[in-house]
Amino acid sequence: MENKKLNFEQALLQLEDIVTELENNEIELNTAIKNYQKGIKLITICKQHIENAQLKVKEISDSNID
Amino acid sequence: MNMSENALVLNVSQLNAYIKAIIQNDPNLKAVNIRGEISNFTNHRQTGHFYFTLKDEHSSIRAIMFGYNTSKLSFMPENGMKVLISGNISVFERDGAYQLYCNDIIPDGIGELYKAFEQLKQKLEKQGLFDQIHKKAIPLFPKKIAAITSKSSAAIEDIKNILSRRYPLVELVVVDALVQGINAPKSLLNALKKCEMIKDIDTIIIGRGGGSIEDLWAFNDENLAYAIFECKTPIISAVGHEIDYTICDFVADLRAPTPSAAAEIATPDINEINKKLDKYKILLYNYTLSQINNKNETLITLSNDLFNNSPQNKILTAYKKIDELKRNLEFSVNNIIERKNIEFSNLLRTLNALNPLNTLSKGYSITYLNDELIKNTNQIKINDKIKTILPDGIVFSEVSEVKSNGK
Repeated sequence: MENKKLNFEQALLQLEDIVTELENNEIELNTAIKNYQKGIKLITICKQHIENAQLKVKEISDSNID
Repeated sequence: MNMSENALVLNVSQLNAYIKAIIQNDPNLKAVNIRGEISNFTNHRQTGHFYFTLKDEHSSIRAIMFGYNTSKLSFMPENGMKVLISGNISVFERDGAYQLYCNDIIPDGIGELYKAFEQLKQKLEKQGLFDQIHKKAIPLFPKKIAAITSKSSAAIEDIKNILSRRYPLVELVVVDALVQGINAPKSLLNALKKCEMIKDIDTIIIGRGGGSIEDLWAFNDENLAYAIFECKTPIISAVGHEIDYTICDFVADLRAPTPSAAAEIATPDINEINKKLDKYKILLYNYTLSQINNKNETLITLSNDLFNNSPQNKILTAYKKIDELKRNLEFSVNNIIERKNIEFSNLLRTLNALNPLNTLSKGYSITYLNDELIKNTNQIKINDKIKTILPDGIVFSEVSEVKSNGK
């Protein structure tokens, strides 16, 4: 499933697009329902990202200073 | 003079060369940091070299700084100025004098530091390094943040804490650097260069925790300022406490009062995002529902329209129209009949008033000769048979005499 590959930011941006699109009254019912389903999926993805998130820290040493 | 025959005799040049070699090979003298006060300062206009004496209360040493180093200085040294100098010791063979060869000079002491700071600030401001139009926007959702600071400092712990609590989705790259002392500017510059080589860094935080103005001095380095200005990645400067301002703060894309604040500015709050997600969930539901309701209303309107325009409904309407017309027609006809009736009775009354028989009842009569009304005597002759009409019948007579009035 392609959604699994989405990172948090992508999922959040897509979600915001969908909410904005749904706000607009000129869309087809089918699209509206598809958007709803996709939006709920994106929310789940975002929440999973948040739940699993743990700060990754990498250190680069102060070497080769002459 | 008591000199052995095979004793080695050197000339002065050889001696000075020898001493120079010894001094240059001493690891302690290859890189020295010296504190002192400048005197006898000379700025050689053509070459850009500085010549001066560095002294303290008890001692002095001649010092030289070559043009390629003086051009990098962010301030102009002057007599009486207290300075920290990094360089090495070597010998000027011609004079047999050991000297301090300066790589860098920084002002030492608060008064000196402020003077130099103001000099550099004005210079860079004039060059436009602080102009608002050059400031880059800090990304809202960074994936990778680099922090240039000492890896063992409280500042980096603060940054880690804030990021773990606020936005643990981000990756933090700690780029270790010296943040105080004479080598700090070079170390910071080096760290910044490393940052630029790491892929996908969204935001750079450069800074350190609080300290004295001397401690923070490395962040007033001119070359560091240019490097920050040239850097393609947005940089947040976070040096010392809220009250401390450095050149780094002015040239960076954004100034944070402290390293913790920088971590906050660099990231969105995950709790806010969580709330937003919950709000989006409700919005999604409501919007979709209202989409469905809207479509439903449209459907109802359309089906009403369809029924109103159906043949069945047209017939029904036509029937109604016919009924109405029929009612109107009946009403109109009745109206006419009634009016005619009234007219008829009026006429009947008039006719009755004019009936000649009514006159007969008062004693008058009408006489005909062969159905012709007799109005005078010369219409009749003797023996004519005449008919007289009375109210209750008819009298038939024969004329026996005719007599006209006046004849």
